[in-house]
Amino acid sequence: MQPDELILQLKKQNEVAFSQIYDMYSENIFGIINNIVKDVEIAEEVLQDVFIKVWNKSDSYSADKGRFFTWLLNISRNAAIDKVRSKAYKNKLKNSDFDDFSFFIKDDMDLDSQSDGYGLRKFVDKLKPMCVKLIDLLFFKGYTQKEVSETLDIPLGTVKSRNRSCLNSLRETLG
Amino acid sequence: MNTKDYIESGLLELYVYGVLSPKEQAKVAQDVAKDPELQAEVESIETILLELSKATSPGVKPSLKESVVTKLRSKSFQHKPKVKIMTSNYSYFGWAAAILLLGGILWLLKLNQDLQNDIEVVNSQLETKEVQITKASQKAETLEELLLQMGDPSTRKLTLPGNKLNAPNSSVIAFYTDEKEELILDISRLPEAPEGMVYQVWSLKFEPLTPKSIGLLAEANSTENRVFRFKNVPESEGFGITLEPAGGSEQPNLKQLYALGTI
Repeated sequence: MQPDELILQLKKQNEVAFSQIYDMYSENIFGIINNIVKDVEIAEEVLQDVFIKVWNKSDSYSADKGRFFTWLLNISRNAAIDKVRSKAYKNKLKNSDFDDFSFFIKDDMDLDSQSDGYGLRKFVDKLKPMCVKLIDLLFFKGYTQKEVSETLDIPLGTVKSRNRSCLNSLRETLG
Repeated sequence: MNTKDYIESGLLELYVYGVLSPKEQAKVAQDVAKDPELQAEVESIETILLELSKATSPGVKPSLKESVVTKLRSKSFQHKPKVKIMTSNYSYFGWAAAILLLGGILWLLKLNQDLQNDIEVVNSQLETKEVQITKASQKAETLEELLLQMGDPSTRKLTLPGNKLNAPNSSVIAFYTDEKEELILDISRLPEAPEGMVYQVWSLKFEPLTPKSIGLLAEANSTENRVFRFKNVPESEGFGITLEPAGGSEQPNLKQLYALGTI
């Protein structure tokens, strides 16, 4: 469920509401950002920027236009992409050695039950390689259907349905 | 499209991702708001996405929240006094008035510049007139002096007939006042001196013939080069006028004698 009352209070610049929303969504946003900037330190900077925007621009969210989580996603992805394009970022990270969110799965030998990597493993294990790519581009990186179709070289008309069946395979086992 | 097909299409997933066009995004939001089944599906999709994205997080440091709140307070302090830029019709009137005013000022400046120019022209015309008046009054003064001189009982009028060879039909009128050693010559009937030549006036004494230069007609005081006045004229028994090279000569060139007369 969407925390409608908290959102209303956030729009009224209520700090307590902000704090609760931060607690609810900061890990999700951090995951999204980190998947794009691929550097924890930089991701931390961007996370702070994102929440400052959430506070300052809470006026611009309207339930008529979509989900609050979607609104957060867009702010986060845009901020992360802006960062990636910045000169400071390019200087710090010349090249990256991973492509999608499955990179964050740590080596099996290092895992303990508490690690984040363990949490991710259970997702990735359920997904075919093409599904990992689809969800990575659409959900984490915010590609449009057209961009995904071109990047993965699959027909435009099948992006929507393929993505649904990929996500369903997660929902059936975990949801 | 019925609810089941709608769900199966995969559109709702993309709607939660936020990757549809703004128009599509708004359309789906409307549809979802009307249909509880769609609503439930969206919630379910969101739940799995929350889990997935949380699982990719490397873990947010607890200290980060404090830092965000601190920034937010300082930012919101700067943020609060929102300055709204009013763009009402009045502001357009304001701009229009400003432009009109500017146009008016420019027009006045132009007008002022034109008037300044006019004043300058008038001033310079005035100066020219003053110069002309001064010249005219000087001329009148000179003529008056000449007239007085001619009317002086001690002034003798002489006619210097033109030389038959060089100036057969001309003559020069001379007024000689020996007491004041002054001589006035009217050469208006002499031909114009050619380029590079000049008339020279000589004082003559006879037995023996002794010419003495009085001056050049080009240099002496004159009224429009017709009436010349000489001072300090030595005692003379006659006067002669010859044409000499510019600058004059020591002795008269008698071949170029133009007028000669005795007292």
